[in-house]
Amino acid sequence: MDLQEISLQLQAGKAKIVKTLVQQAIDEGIPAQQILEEGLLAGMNVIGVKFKNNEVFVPEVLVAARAMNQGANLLKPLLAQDGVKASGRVCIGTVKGDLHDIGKNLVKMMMEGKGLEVIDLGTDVAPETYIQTAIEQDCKIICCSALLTTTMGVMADVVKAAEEVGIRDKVKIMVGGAPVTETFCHQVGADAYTPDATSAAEKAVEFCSCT
Amino acid sequence: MNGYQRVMKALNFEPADRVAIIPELIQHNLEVAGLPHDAYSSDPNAMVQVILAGLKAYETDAVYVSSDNYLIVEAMGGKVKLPHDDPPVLLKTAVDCIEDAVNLKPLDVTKGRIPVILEATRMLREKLCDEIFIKTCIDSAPFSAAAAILGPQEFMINLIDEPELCHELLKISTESVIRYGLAAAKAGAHGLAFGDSASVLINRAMYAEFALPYAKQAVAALKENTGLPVFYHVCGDTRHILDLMIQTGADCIEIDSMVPMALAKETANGRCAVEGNVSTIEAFYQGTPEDVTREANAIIDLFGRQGGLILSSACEIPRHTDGKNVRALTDAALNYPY
Repeated sequence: MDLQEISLQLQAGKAKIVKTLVQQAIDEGIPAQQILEEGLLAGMNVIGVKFKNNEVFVPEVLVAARAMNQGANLLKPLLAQDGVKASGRVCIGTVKGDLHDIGKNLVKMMMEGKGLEVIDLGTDVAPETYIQTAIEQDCKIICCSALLTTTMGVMADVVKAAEEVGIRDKVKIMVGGAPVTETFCHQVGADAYTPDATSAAEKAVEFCSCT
Repeated sequence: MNGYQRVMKALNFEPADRVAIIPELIQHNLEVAGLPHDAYSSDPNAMVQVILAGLKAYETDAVYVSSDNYLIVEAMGGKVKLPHDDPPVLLKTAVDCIEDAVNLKPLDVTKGRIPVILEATRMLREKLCDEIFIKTCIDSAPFSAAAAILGPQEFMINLIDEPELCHELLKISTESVIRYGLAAAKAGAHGLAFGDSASVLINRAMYAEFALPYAKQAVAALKENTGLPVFYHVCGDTRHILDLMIQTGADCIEIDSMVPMALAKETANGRCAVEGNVSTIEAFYQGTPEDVTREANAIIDLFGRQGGLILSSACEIPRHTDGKNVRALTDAALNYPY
């Protein structure tokens, strides 16, 4: 079968069809990694670029990501069986005191769409939780999200906590969210600020391929 | 000319002695007044005290009566926590699924913390009479109120999965917003403001289908029944919906810093006033008084004092902003060589 059809249906947010097509591709003996890359990730990549260019917005991304997850669930056991590993592991969360999660969720979806493994710590995440997860799960990147000017300061505490436990040189810290800027990123000593979810995923891939 | 008159002149495109200023001050006023957030958001006396402290410090033309964007969802069954000195947080939406949302009853304005806003409005009008413009925030426009009621992510997915049910929920949220606005007008507001920031997350066609008609209906009902001007705020980069925001019929659209004021002015083309847009982060929070002055002057350059402009921050001024930067906005309006 043409894996591009999976990509197209994913872009249209058709979760049920994507699931059926992925199963069909598996049954035809196409390797799981190829279905993942040429079907699901290719589709999510198109959505990511369109999102960055304001050609699609949040609802379209949410339904595309839902379709991707439905397909990926079928592939996961096969990928594990084949010994295929994610290109990097990231932990992500909205910082302590902040319960806003749409931006964080979009970044997670885009990163998964780039083939990264993402550990979602949810919202209201304490600095020590990021650090502990990064150590225990061997994450290459910590991603911090904030929507409030009152909570974005926690990002400085995350950087400080990484320094204190001696993992600062082993982990990249990315920051984002509506009030966050490049200047703020430098001020708190984080490694990267990205203005949108797609750029965040691209930056994360870049970091993972450098280490 | 007093603050009330200056704001009305701006909205009516009439010349005034200087531009009107209404910086979006909520949390920053807590720093000025030295009161905690939970008192402000739950006690009208504390709210009035905080708002008046901000008015005294910055001599604005209006007071902005607002707490947070969870008042409607809370009054309709959501659960809100008031941390001692941080903004209120929504712990639970009013409903979990779109099927339940359509069975909700429209807002009862005696529920939740809506009486706090109404009473603060009443007290401020009594105290300030018609000297200072009282701009009361009635939480959110129908689209964003619906997003809060169901949870924004769930709502966004259902715009695609269950559009008809979303329209049903939007009818309920529209009726709720109108009820809130009528009560605020009765309490003494000079102007009604609502935000529609969830609507920046959807594409233009969806905005036209799900946000615009309901905002339009709410604006029309409020204007017809109260005669008061309506302010419509959408955060973020609204360039893809700017012309549609104007079609809501609001008397003033509020523009964030990503949208050039020149573009907003050109798009509005005299159909509504524009409020904005000195950047909240770069100028107010991270910048200097000179940065605020420079941005403010560039905005006044575009409009002069011929009306059509409310000089403001692009969004809410962050709490820990240096007071000198906030004061710089007032001074820019006062000292501009008109």
